[in-house]
Amino acid sequence: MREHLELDDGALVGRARLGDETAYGELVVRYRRAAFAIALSVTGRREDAEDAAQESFIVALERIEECRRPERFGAWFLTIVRNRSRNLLRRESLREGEALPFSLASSIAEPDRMTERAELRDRLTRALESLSDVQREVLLLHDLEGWKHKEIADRLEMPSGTVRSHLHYARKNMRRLLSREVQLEAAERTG
Amino acid sequence: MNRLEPRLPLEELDPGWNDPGYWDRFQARVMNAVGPALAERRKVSVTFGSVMLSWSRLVVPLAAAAAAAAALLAPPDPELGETVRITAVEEVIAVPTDGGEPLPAFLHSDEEVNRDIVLFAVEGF
Repeated sequence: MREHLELDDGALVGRARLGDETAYGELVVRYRRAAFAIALSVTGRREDAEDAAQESFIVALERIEECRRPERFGAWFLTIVRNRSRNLLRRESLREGEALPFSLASSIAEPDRMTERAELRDRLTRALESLSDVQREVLLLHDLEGWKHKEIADRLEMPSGTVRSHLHYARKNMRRLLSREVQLEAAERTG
Repeated sequence: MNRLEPRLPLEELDPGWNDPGYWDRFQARVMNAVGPALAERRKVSVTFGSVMLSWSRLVVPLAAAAAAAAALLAPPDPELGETVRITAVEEVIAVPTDGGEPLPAFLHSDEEVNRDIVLFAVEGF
């Protein structure tokens, strides 16, 4: 089991192709949080992000022979996550009759919606909604999942400088939006 | 953009932030879902491997036996006749010709060139 921890993605993919459960399990451990972050950045809803991330791991195994550069499994896999998340969103909007923007629409059903935590989540997701897709992905991978610039650059296949730039403007926009919300709330409270 | 904006506290968006067992449950759900597909892959790879192994068990000894039998039973080729000596170029240059000198010295000598001797020296005729 432990030996798998030292293997690179390429070796793990090779073993997973032969049905090695521990190897695929290690790939899931490595990418589950990133999968969730990317799915969340597309769907904007925790439940959908969970479903999309989980589905993506199933699809990735089904298509693992199509991963031509196993050492670049991360980039290949995150593309699957992105596509599955978009498909899921499309299915949902067809079902609900209208497009669902990046929002916390599902939080209506959350029992703790009125709690402070749910409010904070609402605020964060609303602010995230205002970012571009790529800014959102970079921000979530870095600030939520703790990936390094280089890791993000490798997995999203963009230069490291571009990652830094996206991250910088994403944070700046988020701060601006969050502080505006706080100011609006304070203004509402004081009447 | 000399300095990066400081990190944002997005932990609240992490489902595992206030639920330590979340990612383990996620892992279990995924592994449960992919379990049958992985088992299927194992079966296929074992079947393929065992076919190759059974073939190698049969083919390798047979090939060895056939090679040994061929060495014992095959008659020598009568057309080959005398043993052919293969001479490397370096050897031709260094080893004296019938004239008693290595080829370069022989070629630079005043002696009249005898085509047959040169051919003999180069090609071992």
